[in-house]
Amino acid sequence: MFGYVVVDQEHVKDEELQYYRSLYCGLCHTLEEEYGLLARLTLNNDMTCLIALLNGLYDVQVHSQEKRCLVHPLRRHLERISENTYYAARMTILLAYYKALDDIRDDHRHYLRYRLLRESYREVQKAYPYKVKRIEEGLAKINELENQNCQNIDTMCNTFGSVLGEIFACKDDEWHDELYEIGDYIGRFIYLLDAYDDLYQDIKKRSYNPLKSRMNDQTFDQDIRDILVMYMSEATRVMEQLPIVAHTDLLNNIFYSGVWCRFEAIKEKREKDNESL
Amino acid sequence: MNPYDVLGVSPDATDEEVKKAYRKLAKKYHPDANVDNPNKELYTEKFKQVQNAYKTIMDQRKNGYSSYQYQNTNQQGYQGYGYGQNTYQQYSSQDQSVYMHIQQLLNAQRYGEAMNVLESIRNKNDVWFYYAAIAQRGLGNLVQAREFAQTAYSMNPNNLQYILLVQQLSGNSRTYTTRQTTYGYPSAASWCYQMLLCNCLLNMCCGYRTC
Repeated sequence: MFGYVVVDQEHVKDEELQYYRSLYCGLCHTLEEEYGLLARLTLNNDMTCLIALLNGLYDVQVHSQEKRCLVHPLRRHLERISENTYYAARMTILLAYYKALDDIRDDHRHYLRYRLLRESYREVQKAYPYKVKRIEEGLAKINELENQNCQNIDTMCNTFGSVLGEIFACKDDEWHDELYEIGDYIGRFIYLLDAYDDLYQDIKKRSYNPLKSRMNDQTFDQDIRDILVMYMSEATRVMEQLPIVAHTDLLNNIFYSGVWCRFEAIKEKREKDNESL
Repeated sequence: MNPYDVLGVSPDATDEEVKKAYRKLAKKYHPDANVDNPNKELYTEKFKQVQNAYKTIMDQRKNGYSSYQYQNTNQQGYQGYGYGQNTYQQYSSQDQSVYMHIQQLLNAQRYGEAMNVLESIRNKNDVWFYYAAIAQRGLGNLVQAREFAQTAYSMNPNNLQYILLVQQLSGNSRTYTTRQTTYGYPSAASWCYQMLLCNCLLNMCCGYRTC
């Protein structure tokens, strides 16, 4: 479920890309500081994009510093950290923990990863008891629906949307509802794209996929694309209404272009698979 | 009170100007910034006015009217659909009263109840799909809403209401794809894909072109 909300590096200005990278480095550093060296492996672009969004919306102090690190031992890189970085780090741990749980459930792999994350997860749960409860309710509902082989796209996507809505709505304040809505639609986008990506694999492995019942429709690929556009259009509709004035180019790149990087890669892979069939 | 006056901008101000004006005022009057302020309550009240004004303006600019109420609602109002006025030819008199009831429920945004009533109707004609589309949209079921609207249209392509509904449901998508032309679009062989692959495999790479 990671690597969907990213920057389209081909079409972004260099200074925006540098800003983004500094947020990424900042998140990496924060994960290590708060949750240990191995926590850096949970680092992902999606939560970095969330930092970019929250930094844009809220007036926060952003600390910049140049640092060397394990991955960049020779040259120092700029990293930027704000309170939103700490929030994103907590959400990163949460999502990584749930993924580890999922992997154990699905394939009985990665038990060690789950064990390593459990302690950090408990810290996050203590910090956000109600949020974590609502997220877990959402995830439990998805599991239940998947076990029932639900083929209703709305039901599945909307349920996952509620999880990401909780992730995006970092505070119970004047922007809670808007952030929740953005997260909700991004979540729907991610869930659908993930299902679309996994379709062939799930057929081979006889695993659940919400798209099995419609994959032979004549207009299947176009329909999926239309729905994905619909979801992103709702997310950006809300985003445009936020009073964000700085780094808007970066955010627009992510939400209008970046999120389609993965889609294009998936589309190409499906076309190749189709040819080989 | 005129929301533009609250923010101190002209009605012709660009979105960016409105946003900047909001940010300046919100920073000044935000409760968190005025914890020790003796006029805290006045400032909090002012903050709410500023908030209200901003959301009203953005709403108006987006929708052509403002359905925004200060009590935060997570649903978009569907006043724009205008489905209350028309009559349809293929009604039996029994159907007519049921559909009028459904119309009332939809007007009152009682979408779940409207759906319940719809599900009790056996004859699923174009009218059924039209109202079901609106109910589904109200419930946030975008995919179902889109499919139902398209079904209604395909059953009766000359009906203006159906055409309008399909257009309305895809309006945001059109705005989105138009805006996309400004921001670029990735090609599969583009760097972002290559970097994604790098990111997934190594999980330590920072998406740098040269690490």
